[in-house]
Amino acid sequence: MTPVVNPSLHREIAKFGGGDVSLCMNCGNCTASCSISPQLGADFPRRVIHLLQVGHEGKLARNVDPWLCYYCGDCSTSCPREANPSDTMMAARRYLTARYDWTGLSGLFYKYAWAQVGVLLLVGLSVVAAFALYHGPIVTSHVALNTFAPVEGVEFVDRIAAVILAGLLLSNAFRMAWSYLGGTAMLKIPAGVYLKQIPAFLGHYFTQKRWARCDSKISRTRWITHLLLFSGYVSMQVLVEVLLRWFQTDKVYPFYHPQRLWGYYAAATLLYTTVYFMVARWRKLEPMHRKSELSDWLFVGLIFFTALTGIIVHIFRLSGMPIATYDTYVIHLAIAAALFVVFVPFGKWSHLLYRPLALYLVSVKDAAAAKANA
Amino acid sequence: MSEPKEQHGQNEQQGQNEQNGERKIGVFICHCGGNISDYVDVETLRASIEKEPGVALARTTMFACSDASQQEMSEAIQKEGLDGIVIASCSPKLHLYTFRGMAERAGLNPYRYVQVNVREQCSWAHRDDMAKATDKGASLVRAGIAKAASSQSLENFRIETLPSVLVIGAGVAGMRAAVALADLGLAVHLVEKAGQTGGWTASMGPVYPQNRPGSALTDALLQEIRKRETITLYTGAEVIERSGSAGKFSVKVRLSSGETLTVAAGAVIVATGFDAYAPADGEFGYGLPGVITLPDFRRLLNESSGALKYNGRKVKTIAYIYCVGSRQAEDEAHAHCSRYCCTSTIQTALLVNERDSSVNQYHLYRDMRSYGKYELLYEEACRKGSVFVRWDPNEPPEIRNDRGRLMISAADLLDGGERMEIPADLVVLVTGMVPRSGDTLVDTLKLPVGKSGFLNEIHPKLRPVETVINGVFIAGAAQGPKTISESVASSLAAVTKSAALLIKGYVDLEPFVARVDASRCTGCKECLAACPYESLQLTNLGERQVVEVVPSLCKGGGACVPACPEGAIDLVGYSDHEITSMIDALAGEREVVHA
Amino acid sequence: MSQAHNGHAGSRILVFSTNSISDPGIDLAGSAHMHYPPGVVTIPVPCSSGIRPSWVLHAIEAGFDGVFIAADGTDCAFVSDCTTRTGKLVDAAQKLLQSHGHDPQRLRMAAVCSVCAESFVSHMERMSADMERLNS
Repeated sequence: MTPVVNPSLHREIAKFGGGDVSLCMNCGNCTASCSISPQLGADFPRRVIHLLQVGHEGKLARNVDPWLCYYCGDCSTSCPREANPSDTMMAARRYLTARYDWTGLSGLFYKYAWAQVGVLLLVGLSVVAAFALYHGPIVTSHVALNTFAPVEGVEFVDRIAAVILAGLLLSNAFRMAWSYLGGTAMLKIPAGVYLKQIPAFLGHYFTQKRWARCDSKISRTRWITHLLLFSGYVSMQVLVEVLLRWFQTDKVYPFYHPQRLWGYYAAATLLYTTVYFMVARWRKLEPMHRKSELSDWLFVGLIFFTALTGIIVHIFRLSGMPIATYDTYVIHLAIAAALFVVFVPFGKWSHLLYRPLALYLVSVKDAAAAKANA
Repeated sequence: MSEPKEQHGQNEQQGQNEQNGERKIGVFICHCGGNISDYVDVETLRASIEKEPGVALARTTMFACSDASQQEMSEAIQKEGLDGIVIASCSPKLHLYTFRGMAERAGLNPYRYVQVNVREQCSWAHRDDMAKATDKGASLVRAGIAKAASSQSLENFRIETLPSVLVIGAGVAGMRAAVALADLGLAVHLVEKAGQTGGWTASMGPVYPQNRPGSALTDALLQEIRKRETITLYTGAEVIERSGSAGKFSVKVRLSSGETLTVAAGAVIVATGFDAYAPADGEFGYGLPGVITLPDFRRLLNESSGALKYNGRKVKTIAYIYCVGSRQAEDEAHAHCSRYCCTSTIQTALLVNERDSSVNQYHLYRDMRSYGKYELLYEEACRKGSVFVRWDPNEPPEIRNDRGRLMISAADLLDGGERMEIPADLVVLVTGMVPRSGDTLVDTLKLPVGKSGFLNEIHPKLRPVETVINGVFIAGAAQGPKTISESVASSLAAVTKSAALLIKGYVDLEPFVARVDASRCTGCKECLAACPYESLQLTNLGERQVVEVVPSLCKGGGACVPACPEGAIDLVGYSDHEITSMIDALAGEREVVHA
Repeated sequence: MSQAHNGHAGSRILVFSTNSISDPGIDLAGSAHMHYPPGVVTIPVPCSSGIRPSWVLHAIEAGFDGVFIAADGTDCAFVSDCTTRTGKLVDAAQKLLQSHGHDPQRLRMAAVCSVCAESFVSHMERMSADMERLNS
């Protein structure tokens, strides 16, 4: 059936930060200047821009091109209309994140600052309230965090939250795959094809190696910095989700103990990289930092504060300050919870999954097509 | 003709030579640097024609058009007492008037000069065969000599002119012309068929660049017209008859009262404008509720305010379909581009944006021709959210009614030609400009009409606004699609041409007109029908009625020549004798002595 | 093109061109350095509707193999029905040729516009070859 376009889509995308899309005259300079377009086809990224202009909601939902763009900004620099194609691709990622999300919350958060801030505060304050109501005995003679907040309880809530959030994210990711692979056509692809491409998925997930193909020098620096952030982030994730009982102990281990070293590594890389990115955004260091949406600041800011409060909890504990330790711990959890609830399934965090998934889906589709042709 | 006395003396001498049957013709053969002499052996050519009867001298020259060469030829004319010259050089389109001027300065009647084209039609076309090119060159020159041998001194016709102009059409072009003519000191009769002045411009609403209403422009012009006593304005009036010729036209005008008035004018400017293309029923959905033309939409915009509504319903999405009635296929009526519509549509879209920024606008175009500074409007429209979708004439958009809403199915060239459906509340057909239909003026004035149906100028670059009818000029969109500023520019060009014709007080016309040999004319009137300009008329010659030519009306086309069963009509410069002697010269045995 | 006509350069064709339309078209063929048989010569007149049929006969009897009228067509500035008028006099001239024992095919007419250099050249090449055949 002939697709019916949405004449207001260009207004919609403006709410996601793609306000310059109308300026594009489809000259193709963006494609010519893009260092990864040779692998992606002659219409990358301008096809996405044209689809946005014209209002092709359906075709966009089936398009994963925005996830293949690493925002080096070469296209924006060379655009004769100053239509900022790279910003438009970023906006398209936000738009797609909202589209994959069946709850509708993602779109709400992106489009309305009050909704995003409101929910962040609500989650944070709920954590504070939960502790106010259900905390364990407050020991003031020495620091006894596991008495104030028993690790088993924290871990339990943690895992429940993780299952819910992961469930939401995976269901959204499934919607992305469903659209891209053509709905029921997805079911006709042999399981072997899916399995065979899994190593590719993992490779992209852990290395983000496609990024290295962007040939500007600054892109390389950014890729390495981002990889550092990723490693710190994954460390933190493993420590609090998998090894919480090993990590949250009242016993203070020697400095060289792996528990402390790993924790320090995670905190240091997170703090360094988030500060780097915030400074970059503030100074508009690169094309990608030219335009920062509220969600961009909140995402990097909340990671920074999560790491910062985490390390402060540690310092208070070492200094033997029980009340300060407990209070900071509550704040730490409040910030982390807000970050996860809002950003994992509904916000920028989701790109951890969507980017490698997009590459995976492309290879699955190609492999399936190759197999069908053979 | 600047020194008629001296010329007269020369003419007498020429006359004597001719009576004796001897002509003194000078032949000059140009090398044109090497453009001619590299492919035609000019010396052999010269040698082969110098003994032709009537040839007094034959020379070659490096560049005939150079000052030195012209001086030399001029001296030869005077010293040798030449009564005719032939210059074998480039195409007469380049230097006919140059050499006529040279002849005149040397005291030779300019119409005794013959130009032979041995460059474009000989040396350049036959670069591969010098012997044959030289042969051909020689026969062309012989034909030139034959023509020069029968050439006579001719005088231009001088006609006294009236210092007044009839301007037909009081749209922006006609009104502006009237004001400018009055300022040049010429009286103006401004005739408008409609009941009021202003034409299309008055109904356009805000126009680029200041977004002042078009009516403000035409109102200002009307004020200027009223200030000038030498302009007489007739509204609701129509031109019904024309007689006379350049400098002295007599035109009958039927006034709104039914009375008929005869207006005398030295020149006529036709600025009758255009018709908006009327789409056929069903053409791009025309006839469906909500499918309207651009002029209709502009009127809707002008005549309403507040939120944009059509038939009481708020308009949220508009789709413009460009090139409706323009750039049609070759076998259809309107193959031309209407020029103004891309820009006008973009400007309309910007007016809509100003009125209600929430309206979505699709522009389904073929090629965006917002040329020159209008490009900035195009960019602004993009900036304000207009979406441009290009379509292929082989796959035009289709419009249908879809449960009370309009749905446009369009193939998008930038999306691999795939079709999409655009839901819209209003579809605006961007209709172009077409020639005025049912225009009796074309017949009344005998105006030349081009292939497109618009009025034709003589040459779009070299003689714009002039028609083949001397003293009748065309201006504005009557000549072809134009924007307001282009219309005004062309109307001022017509003003200048009218003034050039009239301000001297007289006009000289070239003498190449038809001539009737009264002794052979039987008065059969066959020729009268052949002339569309009514330049032939019956006159009494003793007891007989014969035909005579009104030189000021004759265009010199010669259509009457083959119409005469007696062969009594000749065109001056192309008489039976001249042509047959040229044919003989061209056909004659060529005895070129190759060096 | 230069080789094409070498075989039949002998045909002699008289072209009646018109001052403001077809003659510039023929000029353009030369300006564009196209080639056509050198047996082609031209007499320009103001308008193709003013050609006397007797001139055509005269040309054939004087030794031309063919006459080509490079007509104004619809671009004519003198008369709007120039093509019809020229067509009529071509008919008359062909009858005249026939009555004098000449093949009416020796007269041809086509509209040649002011930029129709290529079509003029191809008309001349074809006509030159055809006249050659007619002669043999």
